[in-house]
Amino acid sequence: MSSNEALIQYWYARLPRSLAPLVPRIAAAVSDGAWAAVWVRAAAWAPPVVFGIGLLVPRTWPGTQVVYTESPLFLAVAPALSILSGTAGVALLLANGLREVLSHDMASSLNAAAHVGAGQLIVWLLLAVLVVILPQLAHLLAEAVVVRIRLLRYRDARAICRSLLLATIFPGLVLLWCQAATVLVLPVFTRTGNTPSAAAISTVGAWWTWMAAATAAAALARGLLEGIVAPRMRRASTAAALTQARLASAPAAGSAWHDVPEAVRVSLAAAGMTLLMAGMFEGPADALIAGLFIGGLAMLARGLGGWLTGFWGLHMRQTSSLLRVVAALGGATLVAGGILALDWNGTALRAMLVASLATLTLLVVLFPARIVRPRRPQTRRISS
Amino acid sequence: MSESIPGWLPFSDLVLPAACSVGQACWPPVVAAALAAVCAAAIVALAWAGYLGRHLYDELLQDISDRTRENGWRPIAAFASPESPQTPDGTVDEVEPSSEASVPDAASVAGVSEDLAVAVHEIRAAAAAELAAVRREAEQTLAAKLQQERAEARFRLEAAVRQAEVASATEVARVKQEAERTLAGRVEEARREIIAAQVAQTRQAQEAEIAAVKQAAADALTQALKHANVEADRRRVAAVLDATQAAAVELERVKRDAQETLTEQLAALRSQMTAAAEVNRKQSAEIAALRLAAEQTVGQALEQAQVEADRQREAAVREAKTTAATKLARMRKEAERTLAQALEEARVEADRRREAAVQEAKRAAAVELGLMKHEAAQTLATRLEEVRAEAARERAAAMRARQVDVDPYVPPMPQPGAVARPEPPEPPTTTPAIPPTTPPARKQTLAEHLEEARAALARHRETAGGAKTAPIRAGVQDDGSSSGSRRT
Repeated sequence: MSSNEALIQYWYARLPRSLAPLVPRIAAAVSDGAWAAVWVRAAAWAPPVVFGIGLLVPRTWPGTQVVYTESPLFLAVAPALSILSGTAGVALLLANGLREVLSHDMASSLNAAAHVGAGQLIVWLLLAVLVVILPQLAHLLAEAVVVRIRLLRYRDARAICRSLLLATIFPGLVLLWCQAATVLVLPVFTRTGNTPSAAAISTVGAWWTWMAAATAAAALARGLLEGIVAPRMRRASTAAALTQARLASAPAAGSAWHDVPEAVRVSLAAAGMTLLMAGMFEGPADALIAGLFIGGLAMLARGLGGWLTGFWGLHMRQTSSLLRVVAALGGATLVAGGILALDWNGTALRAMLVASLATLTLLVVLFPARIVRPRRPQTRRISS
Repeated sequence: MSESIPGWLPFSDLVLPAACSVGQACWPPVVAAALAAVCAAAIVALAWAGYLGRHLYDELLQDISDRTRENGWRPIAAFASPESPQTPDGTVDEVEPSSEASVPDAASVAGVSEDLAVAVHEIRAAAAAELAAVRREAEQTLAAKLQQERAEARFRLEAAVRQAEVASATEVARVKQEAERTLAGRVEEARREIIAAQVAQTRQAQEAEIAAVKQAAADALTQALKHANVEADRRRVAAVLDATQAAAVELERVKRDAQETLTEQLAALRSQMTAAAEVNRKQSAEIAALRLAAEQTVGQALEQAQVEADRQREAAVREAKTTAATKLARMRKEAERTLAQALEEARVEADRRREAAVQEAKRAAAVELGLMKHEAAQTLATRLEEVRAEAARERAAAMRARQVDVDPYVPPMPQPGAVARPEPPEPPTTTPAIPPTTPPARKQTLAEHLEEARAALARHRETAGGAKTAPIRAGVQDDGSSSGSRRT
């Protein structure tokens, strides 16, 4: 086995297998670039090269002073790389985080680490959503639409349709993220006592056409290369073997959390979501209230009282997902507009927090989780 | 978290920092803030689902897997499940019939309503989950049994090996003792060779025996594995058949129940629809009557509102006029007061400037007066010299005239500037010399010249001081000193 093949085995099979029990989404993102294994050198060296570039390029991407949202180039490159290859996206994310940890602002003193580090951690988590969560969701949504079009009987036709859908859905999700980033990146300024720069917020509004074009082009290229070009390459069997190796680790996904008590998992989820919403806090009281509210929502979603998992959950799951998405976002916009109009004074962060919590409530209520019952009693019933 | 946000910019300034450029979102600030709040909540929800919740992703994956199977497609690599069939290249997903035809397809049941299809889908998913659980349990059982069989076979093999080793050692000792007893008389070298040969032969025999034992153990292990495989397959097939049969029975029961329920619901719904149509017709008539009455009421209300609005508008105009007049008077008073104050300030400023000009003129007049005094003093001194010279000439002429009366010799008067010639010594006289006295006429002339000079000086002073605004007192300087002291 050559060094290139060994690297490919490590990036796309062994590393995801190691990560799957603890962080299944990141493991899935890391193994996402296996389709490109038909180009051996590119697949083997792309992750370390992207990691090196992300680590060595200084914080000042063109136009960047404090946070990456000030740079239109970074905002176009990061999602484009992540939709082309999730492995490259994760490499860029890790390099970005490591560079921030080693930066002078954070390594100078404990006080700087506590203030700068907290804000940078929040925006780093936000970047993780952009390069890890959104590409996988775009793939799932595009495929969910493709499998509903039964007329697509041929593989190439499905690949083209899948590419077009990916080039439509993923830029939409990126624009959704950009609109949310106008609020969620604020802790990187407020934690250090600085004034939020207009460039950090307005870039996403002024450059969204270029960002959408870059991400759409990358998504289209990914769909066509993966669905049409790669299967016809000589080394297509390598990608198949990597896929089999990845599937072997599928049952272990998230298994490290199975033994963790439910209360701890819910608390961790509530803390993480509260941390992400820190951009809308005007004081510690807001953080406390938001954390308690999100924790309550999490417990309701996990079946507390059976309000969302019984009759209501069954009927919601029988309703069209698209209809629920439209109802949730449309209703949330109306509710948020009403709340903000009541207490609008130019900043209104607390009103925005209330609007966001109302939106979150709508989303949780309209998309209830399916609670899986224990299988052992059913097994006994059927076997008997 | 800081208690307050330092230097916080208004959100509208952040979202809309400048004039809207081409393609930039130009919503009102409230709408932009609402969209940002909704998008932030959506991103947080997606992160929630992605990191810990996972149900959204799992349901999407399950939906994709189900529909892919229903379509008869093979999934692409990114969405393949562990039990999905994979072609050698891993990505071929040509159209082909589903491999799980043993489970009835929900979509193929004719006349099944949407609820029934959903119920069938649920049952089918539960059956698939049960099937997977049974399969996993069977595989785990098989793996455990295989491992146990392997362990037992390995233990038996090791025991056989140990037993063969013990037996061979015993045999070697026995053969050795027998050879020693039989060949005790042979020479030492022959006995050693024989013993070595016998040992070698015995070892070969033992190795052959060990190989035979190993072969037997391997055969036994193979047989055990085959038996375990067959048993596991049988159990797995039985479990699959049981689960499939149970699912089919459950499906039939649910289908039957659902059809009955649907029929009852349809009948009830028809009766309800008939009653509702009747109620609807009655309500339509009532609504038409109410609408007519409401239109009339609205017309009257509109007229009254128009009259009231006109009255209120006139009252507002009157009030605005009164307010404007009051405000105008107040502004006029304030303007007059401001003007008077400005005039007073201007007058004070003019007085101050005039006083400054007077002082400046006084200083200039004093300087001019000094110069004129100096000139007048020079003129007066010159005039006095001339007067003195003339008086001296007249006095000399008078003396010569008196000497002519007394002595015919009268020396000529020395002219001013001329070199006086030495006069011849006067002869001594007996007549006492008359003291030179100025005749009264000459004194009067000198006094007149002096008076004329003083008058000229006074005219000069008047001439110099008359052009100025401040009168100058004769004989007194501006600085208070007497001018008489300078006159000398």
